[in-house]
Amino acid sequence: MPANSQMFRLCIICIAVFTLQACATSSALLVARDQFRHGSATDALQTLSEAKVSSRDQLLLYLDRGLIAQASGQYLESKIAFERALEIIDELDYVSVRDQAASIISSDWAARYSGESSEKLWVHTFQMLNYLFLNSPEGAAVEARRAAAFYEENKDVLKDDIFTRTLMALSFETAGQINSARVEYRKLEDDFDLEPPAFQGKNESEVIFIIASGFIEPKLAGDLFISFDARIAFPYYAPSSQLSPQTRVVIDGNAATYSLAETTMVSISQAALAARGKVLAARQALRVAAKYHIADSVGEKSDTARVLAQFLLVALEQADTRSWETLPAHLTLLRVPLTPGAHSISLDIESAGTNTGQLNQTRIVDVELAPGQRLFKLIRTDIAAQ
Amino acid sequence: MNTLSFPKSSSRTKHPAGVLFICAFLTVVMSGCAATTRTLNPETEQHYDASYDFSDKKQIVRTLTESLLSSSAVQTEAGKPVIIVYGVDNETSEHINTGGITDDIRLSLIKSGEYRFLNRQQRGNVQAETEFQQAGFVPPAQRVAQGRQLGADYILSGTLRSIEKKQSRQWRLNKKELIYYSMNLELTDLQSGEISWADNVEIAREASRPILGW
Repeated sequence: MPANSQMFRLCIICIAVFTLQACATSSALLVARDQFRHGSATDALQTLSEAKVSSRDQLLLYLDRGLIAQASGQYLESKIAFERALEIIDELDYVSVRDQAASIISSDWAARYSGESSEKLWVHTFQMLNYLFLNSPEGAAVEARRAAAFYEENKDVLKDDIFTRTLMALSFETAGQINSARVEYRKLEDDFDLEPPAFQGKNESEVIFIIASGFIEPKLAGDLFISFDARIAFPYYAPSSQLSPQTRVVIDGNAATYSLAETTMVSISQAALAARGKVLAARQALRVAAKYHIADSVGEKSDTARVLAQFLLVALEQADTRSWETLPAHLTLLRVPLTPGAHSISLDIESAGTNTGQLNQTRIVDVELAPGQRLFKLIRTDIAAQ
Repeated sequence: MNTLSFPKSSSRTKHPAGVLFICAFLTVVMSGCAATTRTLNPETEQHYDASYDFSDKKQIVRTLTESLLSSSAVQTEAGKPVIIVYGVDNETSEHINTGGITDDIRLSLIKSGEYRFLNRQQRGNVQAETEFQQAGFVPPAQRVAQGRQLGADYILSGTLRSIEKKQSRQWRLNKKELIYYSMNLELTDLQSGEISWADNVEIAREASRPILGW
């Protein structure tokens, strides 16, 4: 009996430890995300720079830091943060025995977050933008090539990300790598019947607006009770409730023509999560079996211990709802051809705001374009104009 | 009569082996944790993974410089050809500063004494300095004469490309990656527009890493 009692205590302690260490996104991330959602990118960056984030959430820290820095116009800082995020993704690109064991005993929260395939692609998307904003088209082309390689590996899931695919082509075009640009435009034409744009002449100029609107829906937790002592919890994305932004462009007082490429982010995330469904289901089945066995062993000589263990293990089953929550709900790329010279561009954006419901904004952008110049401008509708 | 005794003499005899084992274990652990620094010979080939590194740069520079120096295609009537470097485009999947390649090739060619180079990067500064001298701040005798700069005979340019292939998803213990680099360099005659010389270097490398780990 003493041995049994000791075993029982040990189990309880183990379960308690796992319960304490898992099942929550690091609080600093939650605070920073809240600050960003309320329009304060500076405060959010300050919070993240001082944050002590669990090793399980390191990737999320750098994803959030990179995106918030970009939204506040700090492109170099954003580039550095995303470079670290890419390193972490590379470091986690293996099957970790430690993570697998921890997640089978407790929940998927115990494993280090390695990102959905959609999020891995978007790191390259935002890096392309950083290089373009930093006037380094060759760097953007490098990221475009990386994105293209990752896309080819996961194209079943990522095919509908028209924004990223157009940006890839545009990055190649801006870097003067016309053949690579043609390949990407042709793929878009094959998949969506989108006519490839005419390549910019030496005396033609262009302004490219990148409009990031709203916030992506977070992952939600779903539950499935098999019996009173066995529960399966799984993450899922609710369909997007935010409408695509409607944009009107007025140049020097006249309505302008433009081309548009848009992605509803959550639809890509849904596909990426669904593609992981089999792996998630297999791990869930293993976890249910493991927990059942643990509860059974603990309760061999004590029914009270069994019930307590069952209760704790069922309570411990939590869906891993971690995701890159600072992402916008929609990414829109607007190509506005212009003659060289000074122009005043008025952008009327009607989008679904985060906290305020419908959000109508007018942004006035004054530009002076040299012949052949292509200018990139980022507009995050939920953040004050930079 | 008091005698000195060791109540657990048998355990004493076990200590040396145990202590030795612990010491050996700690040594291994500590040596693994210690930060180390060592100087490498840059001429020795070193690769930690399949990506581009300084050994590749060395190989590219050496091969292309030797090729250009042994070529008789590049000639001028007035002695040593004057070259201006327009750089190497990076069309790889890595953020590689290709300026390092052209700088080293330029250095090797200058050292060979067979080519002369224009400093394109310093053109703005040269112009500013010349204008400063001509503005009256420098005595006339010390001013550099205008209109005496060299004109280039050739443009040196190139492209670094890469093709990467990753092993397809399947049940396996290692993930293999294949990278192929191709560096093309060419000299374009400014007078005729003809490519007077061109050569390339190819590097192919395979790397693998385990799929399973702690």
